[in-house]
Amino acid sequence: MKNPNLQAALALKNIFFCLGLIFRYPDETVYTEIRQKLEAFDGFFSEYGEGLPPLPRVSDLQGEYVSLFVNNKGFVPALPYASFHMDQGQLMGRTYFRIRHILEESGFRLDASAPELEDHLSILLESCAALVRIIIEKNGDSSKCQNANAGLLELRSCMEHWVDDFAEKVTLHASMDFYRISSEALKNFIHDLDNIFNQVLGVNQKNSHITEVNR
Amino acid sequence: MIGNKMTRRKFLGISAASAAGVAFAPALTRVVRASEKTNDYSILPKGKREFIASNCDMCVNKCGIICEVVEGKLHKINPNPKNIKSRGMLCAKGNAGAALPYSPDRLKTPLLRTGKRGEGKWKEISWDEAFKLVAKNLADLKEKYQNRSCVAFASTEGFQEEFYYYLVNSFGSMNTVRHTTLCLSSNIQGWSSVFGVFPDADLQHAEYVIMLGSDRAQALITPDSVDFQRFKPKGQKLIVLDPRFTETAAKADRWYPVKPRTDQAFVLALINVIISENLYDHAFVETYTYGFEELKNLVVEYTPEWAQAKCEIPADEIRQIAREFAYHAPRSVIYPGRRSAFYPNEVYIRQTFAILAAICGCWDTIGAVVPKSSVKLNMHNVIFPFFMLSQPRVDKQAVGLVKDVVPDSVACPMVGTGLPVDSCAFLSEKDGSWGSFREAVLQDNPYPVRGFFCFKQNPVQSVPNVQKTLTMFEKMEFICVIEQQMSDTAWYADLVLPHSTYLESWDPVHNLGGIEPIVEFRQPVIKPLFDTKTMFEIAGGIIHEMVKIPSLWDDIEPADFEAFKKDILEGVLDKPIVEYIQHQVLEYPGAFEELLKEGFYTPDGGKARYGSTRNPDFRFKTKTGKIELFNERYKEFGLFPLPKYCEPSALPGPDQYRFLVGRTAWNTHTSTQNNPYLWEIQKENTIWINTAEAKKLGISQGDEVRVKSKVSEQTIKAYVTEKIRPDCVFYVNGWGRQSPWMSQIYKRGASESEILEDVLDTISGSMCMHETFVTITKI
Amino acid sequence: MADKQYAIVLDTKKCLNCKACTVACKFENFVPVGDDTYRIWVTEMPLQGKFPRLHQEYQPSQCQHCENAPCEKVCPTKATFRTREGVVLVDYKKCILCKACMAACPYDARFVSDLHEAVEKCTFCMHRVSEGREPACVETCPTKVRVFGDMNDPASDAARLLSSRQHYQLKPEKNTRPRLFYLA
Repeated sequence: MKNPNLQAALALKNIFFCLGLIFRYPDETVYTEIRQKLEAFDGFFSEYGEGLPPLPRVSDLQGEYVSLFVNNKGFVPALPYASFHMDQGQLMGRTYFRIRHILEESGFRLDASAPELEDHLSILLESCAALVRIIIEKNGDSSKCQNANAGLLELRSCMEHWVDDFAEKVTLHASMDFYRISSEALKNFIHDLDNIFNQVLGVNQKNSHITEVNR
Repeated sequence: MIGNKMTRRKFLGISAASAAGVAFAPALTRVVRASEKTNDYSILPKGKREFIASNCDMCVNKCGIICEVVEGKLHKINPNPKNIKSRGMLCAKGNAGAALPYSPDRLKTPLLRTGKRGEGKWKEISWDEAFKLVAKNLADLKEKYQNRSCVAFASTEGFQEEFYYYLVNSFGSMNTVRHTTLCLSSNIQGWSSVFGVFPDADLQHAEYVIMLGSDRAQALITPDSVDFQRFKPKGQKLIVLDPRFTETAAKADRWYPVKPRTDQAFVLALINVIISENLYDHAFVETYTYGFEELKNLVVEYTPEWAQAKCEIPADEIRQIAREFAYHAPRSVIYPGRRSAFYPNEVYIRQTFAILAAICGCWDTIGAVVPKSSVKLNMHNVIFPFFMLSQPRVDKQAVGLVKDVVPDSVACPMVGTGLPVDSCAFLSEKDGSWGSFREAVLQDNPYPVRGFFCFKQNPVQSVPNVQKTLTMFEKMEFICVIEQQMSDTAWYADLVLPHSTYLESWDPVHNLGGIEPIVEFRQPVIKPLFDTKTMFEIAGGIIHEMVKIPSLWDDIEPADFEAFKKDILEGVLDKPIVEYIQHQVLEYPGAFEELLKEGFYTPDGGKARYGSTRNPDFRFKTKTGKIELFNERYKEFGLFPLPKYCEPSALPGPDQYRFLVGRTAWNTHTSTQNNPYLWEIQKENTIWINTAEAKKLGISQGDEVRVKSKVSEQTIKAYVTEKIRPDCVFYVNGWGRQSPWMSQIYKRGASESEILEDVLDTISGSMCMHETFVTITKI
Repeated sequence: MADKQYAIVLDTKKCLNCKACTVACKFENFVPVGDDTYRIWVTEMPLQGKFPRLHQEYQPSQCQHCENAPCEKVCPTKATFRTREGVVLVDYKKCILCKACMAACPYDARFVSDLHEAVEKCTFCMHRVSEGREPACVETCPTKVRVFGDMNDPASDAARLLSSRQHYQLKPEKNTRPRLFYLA
């Protein structure tokens, strides 16, 4: 397998991390980080969406985040948990355990101080960033990053299953542009990942399948 | 939909720019190397399968459960076959409890309102911030109004409620309001007026059972719902009086669609027959009761013929039932039931039932009604400070205020209009009366109430006349709700604190004894999914912040403040809750281990304790110490001491129907409808209309109809059926929620609390559920 | 010694129509929420009579585990089979989703499972039975309408009920010889 395109791989890692931050509750620290770093992703948002999502005031963004993703009257409009979408509307279904397994296999876990489930969209995206980092560190040597390769593909395939529905719900219920534009870009990006993984990291379904058989 | 496929060049094009060079703050990383810290995912080792005993909390019954947990995930809740109260059953709700912790809609972290109240704009805050905020608001309100009772505390029963009262008593408000006046306080009051206590029915051994307005097949109560069918002995008879053909009516040997509010006439006639035909238990009446002659004089006029004209049950059948009841006594049960008040004379209706049991000696013996048993627990004897700035309850002083909610049309002549005496004197004072409490707060009489706390109660859905509740909320300067889900009440709060589910927490030991004594507790079967806490932890957190604010303690002695910190904080709330639980059962060796293993404990194998009060020297908790057929205390308070018949209000107009309430076996009030496994059973409510009436109104099955009462109107689909009296209509509680988003679950069917008028029972202050009249029109 | 022969005996007169059994089954067997996905059910029988002389019964049911099972006969891949204990099961791996069994079943007891990618139905909770536990629907019932047991063991509650009480089976005209017996 060829070495990853380092520059592109770093960008990919950072895009994952950035999206992870965007879909995480914007407390002061997260909000400040987004505000400072978002512009660097202008190219990404222009290519995959309508351009940079306009960042509102922190209190407005927090209100929007809670009402779209955390709690609302009756039900939460756009739930960011993979299990909710994959396992019949419940949290901690099979998908959740699968994702936890992927992280464990690649030597990762969720920090104990984070009161969140591993299959939360922001964690999935951050996990992708962590897996890309492994691949970069191992210089794309497939014998050393089989688990990371397989995990990345599985996370991609999982998100691809529900990102359309998620983005649609965000668009339907959003009262401002930030999450609408972000989820639209996320959707397009996820659908392109197959291609990006293959070309940037040299990771694809075929070689991942081979590693699984060898194991 | 297919996303736009990008080429490598395009991705590389964008990545070549700035994205690759970004360095994010390392502290923001949450997905970390596993080796960096010890792995602490789960209370259970990987792949392990465990069965953990605890108790259900999907309704009031607290049935025994055995939770099957696989790899830290709750798979299935099974009934505990050994539990002597729930007798090895678990209903639909209890089973569906396994979905509760995994509900994506549950509250996950403390939320602070940032927009207008009810607008739905929130921010997440930490527990530390939340505790500080609560303490500060309490201090501010106390300073502003110089009265600790300016903050009201609402709650409902539950194993953690005692810790809510740690908070209440640490602040020193007298204004607490519990669920009982929306629940069974009138029933408790009526039976207690005779026996001094509220008993249970020994349905397992009874030979003859009369149930009036209790739907035990659907409104499930353990062990009664089990016993009345599972152990039905050969020849046992069940007589059911209900305006609806309920699932219980379907099990009855005889069902009478009694005219609403005339059950009392039926029971008075039974008493008349039993006395006039000399069928009562002479020895029992002689030994244990007080006021038989007065009762005898009262019921002379209440003949079966008189009753037939009232309740539409044939006189000869009333005679026959009276004779059968007396024949099977003491194994005859007039069922006490467990429900809210229906009518303004509800206490007298219940007093009548109790008197029938008393004169037939159907008391405290096998197959009769029997006082509840309990297990003596080791109490935590904490003494809360006496605060100078605590004024008495707002509704205690509000005599006469409630005139408005006891209209002349429903007032009983013998008790006058309005609550003639201290409105909450008759049950525990801390229960209060929701109706009179709300009136007093709305009128600022005798003083303003400006803070509101709510623990697992949902008054916006459960207290009749929603508009009044919302108007009351508008008066509040601070509203804090402690809940598991974003209830309609939480939606109007300023601060919402997420409570852990019953499957994630330790709960203290409580008596649940019926005829057999039993105590239960809870232990966590899974780790909390989110940043939630229990009331024990919340009370501790808030009180710790309160003690940092000197102004909150300036109306007690400094020595009392020191004692408070030592006893309440160090002594109880700072310790692990497990120590609290162990202390409770200290006197019973092995009891704590038994609780861990079985979820319950019973000292003597749970054997029924019959006859403890069947001793001529026993003093009942009544004024005379006897079973009072004539209530001396009522006489003292200027109330009629005997259950004199009270004529029901007539239908206000020819096009009016009496609105009835009721339950299903798969939902608890308003709290479970969005559980997908229960929603699946019933997706919306429908209004029951008698076939002949529907024809008159031109309404067919499934038609949309408008239901209109004095206070609101609702839209709902018609269920045209033979199963209801022509002069009544019915729909079940829990539907017709208002929600900003349309979904499958919300805005379906019609709301009960919106349509109900707020009419009060004249003695217990309970809300009366069957005193609303509606018109029905096809849309 | 003869094999165990499993059966369920039902006393529907005790049924409260509370739906505990149907919810218990869904959790126990990972049956998805949905109106078309169910292994067991409670039928509200038609209301009889006119107000105020009314009568109504409730009838819980599920796969009848027929001794003469039409589903087994029509299955082209032998995915549906009967165990030695008389329990009709589906080998999900062999199921090709042709749905012939669904059409053949006179009791509408089968549905397509997305989870198993196969047709599925009541298994008498054999995974529980093999651990010495009762089927979920039997265990959770408040009034114990269903009694599960071995017909070959005369001491079992099921066998005792069958020998002492009159009983009937559903759709006897189909000659399926169900293992669900309803007490008269």
